[in-house]
Amino acid sequence: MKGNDQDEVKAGNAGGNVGRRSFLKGALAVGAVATGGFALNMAVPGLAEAAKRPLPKKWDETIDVVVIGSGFAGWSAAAQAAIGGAKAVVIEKMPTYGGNSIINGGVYASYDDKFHYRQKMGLGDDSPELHMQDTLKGGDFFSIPALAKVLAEGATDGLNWMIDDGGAVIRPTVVRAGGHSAYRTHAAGIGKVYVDALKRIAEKNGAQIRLNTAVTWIWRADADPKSPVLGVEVKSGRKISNIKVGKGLILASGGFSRDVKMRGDHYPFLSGENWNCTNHPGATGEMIRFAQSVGADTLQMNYIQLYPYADPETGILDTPALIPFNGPGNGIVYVTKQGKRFISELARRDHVSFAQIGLGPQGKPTYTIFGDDMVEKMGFTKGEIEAGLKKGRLVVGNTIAEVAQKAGLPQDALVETIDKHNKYLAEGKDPEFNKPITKAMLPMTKGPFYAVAQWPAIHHTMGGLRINEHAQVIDIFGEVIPKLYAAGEVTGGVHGTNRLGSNAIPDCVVFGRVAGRNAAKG
Amino acid sequence: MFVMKRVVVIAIAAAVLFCLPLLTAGGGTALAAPSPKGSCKGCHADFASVLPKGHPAVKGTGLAACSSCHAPDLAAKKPENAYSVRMHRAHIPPKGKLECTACHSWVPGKSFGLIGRKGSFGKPDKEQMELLKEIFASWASSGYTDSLHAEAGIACSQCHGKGLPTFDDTVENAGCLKCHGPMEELAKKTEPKEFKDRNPHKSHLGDIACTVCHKGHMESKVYCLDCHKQFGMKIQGAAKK
Amino acid sequence: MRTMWDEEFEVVIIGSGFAGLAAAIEARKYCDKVVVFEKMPVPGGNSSICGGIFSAAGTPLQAENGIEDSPALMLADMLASGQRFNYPELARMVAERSTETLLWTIEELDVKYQPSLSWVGGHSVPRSYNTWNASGSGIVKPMLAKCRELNIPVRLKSCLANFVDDGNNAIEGVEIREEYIFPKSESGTPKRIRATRAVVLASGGFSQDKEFRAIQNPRLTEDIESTNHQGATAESLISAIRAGATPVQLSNIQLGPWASRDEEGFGVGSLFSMLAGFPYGIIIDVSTGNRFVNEQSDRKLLVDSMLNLGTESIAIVDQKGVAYATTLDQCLKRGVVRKFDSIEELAASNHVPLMPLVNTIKSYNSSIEKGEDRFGKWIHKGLEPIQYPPYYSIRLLPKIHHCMGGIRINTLAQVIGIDTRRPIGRFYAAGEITGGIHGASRLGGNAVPECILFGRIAGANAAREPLRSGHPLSQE
Repeated sequence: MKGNDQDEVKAGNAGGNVGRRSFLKGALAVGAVATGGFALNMAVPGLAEAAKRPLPKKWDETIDVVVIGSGFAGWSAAAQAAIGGAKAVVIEKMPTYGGNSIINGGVYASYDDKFHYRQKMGLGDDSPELHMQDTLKGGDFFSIPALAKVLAEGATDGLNWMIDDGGAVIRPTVVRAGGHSAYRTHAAGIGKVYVDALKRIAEKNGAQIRLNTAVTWIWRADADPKSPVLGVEVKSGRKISNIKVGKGLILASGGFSRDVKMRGDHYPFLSGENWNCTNHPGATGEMIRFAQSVGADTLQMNYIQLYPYADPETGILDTPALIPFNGPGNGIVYVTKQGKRFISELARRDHVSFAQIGLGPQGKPTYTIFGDDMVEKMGFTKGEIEAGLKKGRLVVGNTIAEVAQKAGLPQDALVETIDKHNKYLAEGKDPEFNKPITKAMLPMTKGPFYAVAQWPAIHHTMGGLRINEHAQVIDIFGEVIPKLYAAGEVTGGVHGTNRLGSNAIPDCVVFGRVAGRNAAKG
Repeated sequence: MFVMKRVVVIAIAAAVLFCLPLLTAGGGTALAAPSPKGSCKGCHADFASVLPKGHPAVKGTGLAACSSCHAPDLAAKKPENAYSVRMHRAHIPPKGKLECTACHSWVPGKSFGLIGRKGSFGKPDKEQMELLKEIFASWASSGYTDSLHAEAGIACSQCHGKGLPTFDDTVENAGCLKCHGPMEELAKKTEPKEFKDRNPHKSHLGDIACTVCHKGHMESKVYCLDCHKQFGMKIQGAAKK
Repeated sequence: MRTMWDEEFEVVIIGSGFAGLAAAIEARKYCDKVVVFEKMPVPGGNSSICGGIFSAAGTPLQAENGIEDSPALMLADMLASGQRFNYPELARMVAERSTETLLWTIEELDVKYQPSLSWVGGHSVPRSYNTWNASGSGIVKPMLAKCRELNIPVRLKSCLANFVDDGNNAIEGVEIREEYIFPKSESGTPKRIRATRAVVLASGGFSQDKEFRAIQNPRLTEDIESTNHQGATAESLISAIRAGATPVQLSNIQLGPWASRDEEGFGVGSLFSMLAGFPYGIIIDVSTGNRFVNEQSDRKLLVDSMLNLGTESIAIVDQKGVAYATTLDQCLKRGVVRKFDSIEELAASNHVPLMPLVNTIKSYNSSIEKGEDRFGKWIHKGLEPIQYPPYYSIRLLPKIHHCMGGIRINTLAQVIGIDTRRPIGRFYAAGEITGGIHGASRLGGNAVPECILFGRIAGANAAREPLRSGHPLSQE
């Protein structure tokens, strides 16, 4: 029997301030106590000696801060680490940078911005506290409040940072999106605007990126809470090399919406290949599993979000697919194929998605109806609408009846639905679905009007690695894993059961910055 | 910015290796009698007959005679090198059966030159030599981007910018754009009439490497189609001929 | 090479509840040396203190009462309340083999059940047996007797400290702390126990682990009560994860909507609400006197509605409905349920506004007549209007009750590894420690069949693993 029972005794007799789980820490009894330079791999208990992976004896290079993933969180972390004086390198497995972030819809929830658009447009009050409360409520209070607080409080600074230092251009409006109780969602058209801003800040400060480079393992000697993450094994082309982490390893590798197996592991309903998905093909969960294999704790892994308004054919979240999300506060209406409303347009994503799924496969797709006067208020340009029309994603008509006819909806029913909804807006009350009516919601009285088809597609994984408010990864014993940080969709517990739309970018940017700052300190 | 465009181009399916028993290092199993080192006469008894029409008379029947005019491009400066391309494609599979060392002098890890001439293209070791053989085989006939370039008379160095490519070698966008650029022009050429934003050369993914889609020595693939399955874009070098 | 085993058995089982004891009894059929370790000073864990409700589809009692049921219907009920989180292949096994498992307890263990069926929330038909004493101990005790008969030692105060692997992707044994005094982690003496065939983990859920449960569901703060025994903590789950097991759906933690505000834990009031108050009475918001939910909903829906209400709620039942309560006497004795001669008295004592309450009852009674309820309660023949005094009320308080999440197993009860997604060798698990069978919300009475079924599967498969060779107790 291999092993080292002295280690065991030490762990057992650590004395003093040991918690009640102290005897569990560190070792899997004899078998996996890493001795003689073997790497920790909890995924395979007592891996046969022959198959055991020795820790690298020689490192190919040492980098202060290694960031895995080049989306919002990764670039934010790299930028902040570089600003903190560390050599920061972003590792990206795909041949292009930006992951899901670059194709994200570019909506950003923040109670304020440097231009104070909400205040200027007279769209009511807001505060970080209210943003946090909405986040908690929208996730059925499963969010860790301390994490939601970091998000809400850091969102505005993160947004202004991207505008001021990165040159991000946001549209001159704020909208009220489903689940939010204030007009706080900022629009930039597409996530690329922020990714490029963050990349600019990061590269300006000396951070670098390596594309086509996949992490194939995280090196850690053992599960003892004092044992830091040592480095990563990466594969680029045919070459496998080992990077030693000087100050910190930051996991910013995103969610696992495209990991069919992992989806099935945690949420059997969403298993299989038959679901549409808004994500890029690289959104798989191996980094979460590697981190678990070196002791990281996970939480709320079974909460996986559907985006209710994706392109019904492809599942892509293109610009037209963003309209139903941005528009509820401006008076858009969701209707079934029968031309009837089926839910409050201000409902949360999960509620809207399951309301659609509840219609059955024959209910696919549903539609969003909106008027021309809402377009810019929702954060879109005329050009984007024209492009959507050309692509056939939108249909237009001068009357509601014409829109209905073009979209293949029953004309009388749709006209009646919109008339009724106009009346609700005038009366300030929605007796059918109890939607809170605001003044910013415009009645659809004068054309042209548009319709866009929509259907749920897998979108976001709320669960993931457990972190604290310093973005440090916590292990299964409840202790910090030294030198390991995580930010963005790879983490869990920020959004609870259901992420509110436009909370993803602030989550990624804020926690990415926290992780980068702390990692640079070493 | 610099690193972003560097993309690994050398990733050939291992299968290629096994398709080419003729090219195994060290030779010895070649089907045809190998020609005397550096001499063309062993195969081409009537040497004059293999010369193109109107080619000036050649003194001698060895490589040295050819390379006195067709000087080897050791520094990789020539924009095109039709001679090099023609010579290689005629002598290696599928058209020919020659081993590299029929014409090239090679001291593993030290030098790689032309028999009868001074100077070296690089210092390939055994492993790199294997790789070169794979790449040459692909370049000669694969139907991929490499052989499309070969057909146009483009030899390795015109893309790679140096004598011999090595593992994890890259091609910079700037290299491609020397002939195919500038990017804006390229984008105009590929702009669809109907949907102007469905343009692979003006991607919403930003400043991406050409090699994301246009693979050198393997099947080229339109990256867009991974998500936008309905776009139906075509790409050259997508499949073997 | 030094071996360090203090003792060896063929099958080592952790936990002495339904799952652990079922595993032991079944394992004993195939091999001789089986042992059960229990960290608490008493056997049975939560199983001994649960309500002893056993739901099964297609049972003799259903046949006697002309109730049409099928495993397919039971599965549909499970998936509906589980909100699509259930692993269908595991849930199906529970539904399909529930009656077989029930009959096993009767035939093999001689468990005595009451002669009538209960209709528990979320089930489409009455399909729940009750043990003779309205307690899980009615099953645990015969199981313990069986273990004695089969010479299976149940060692108390023996806490699992760690799994020991064999260096070949399989579990070879465990480290136990003997003479352990819960909850002192440093107490007891470590001992290495070898399992020459396999280890079965059946250590239950973590409803009492205040720190661990709050990680997965931060709303379950320290001050929230639990129906569970004190030993329902997470160390063994953490050990299993440490040994490579995949944690799944840990955030699905169930609260029992039926628990009483006037006693600790599961008590006697829970069964009163579950069997009488909810199916035959109504739940009232005390601040308004109104109903707000279908009383026969599954537990999650009930709890979510109660928590969203933000005020206290009570259940009310009349003399006819109270006949279904199995624990009425104890409830009255302990003041958990109170009895009133009139609705007026009940309202006054519970601080419910009288007129709204009277109207609520009136409207409920008329919906029984009409055969249609606005909250969707299914109106059936056995349901009568609330009009026969005396009336009974119970003050409700949702309490943490069951952990639907846990470690991933397959249909053979093998533990599935993280990342490899393959079974870890010689490692089985059953019961509440496993995850994903019940999804977002377990139906009442489904834990007993699940624990016993998968306990038996785990035990049988563990005992049929090939015997490890060697002389483990020798040195050098």
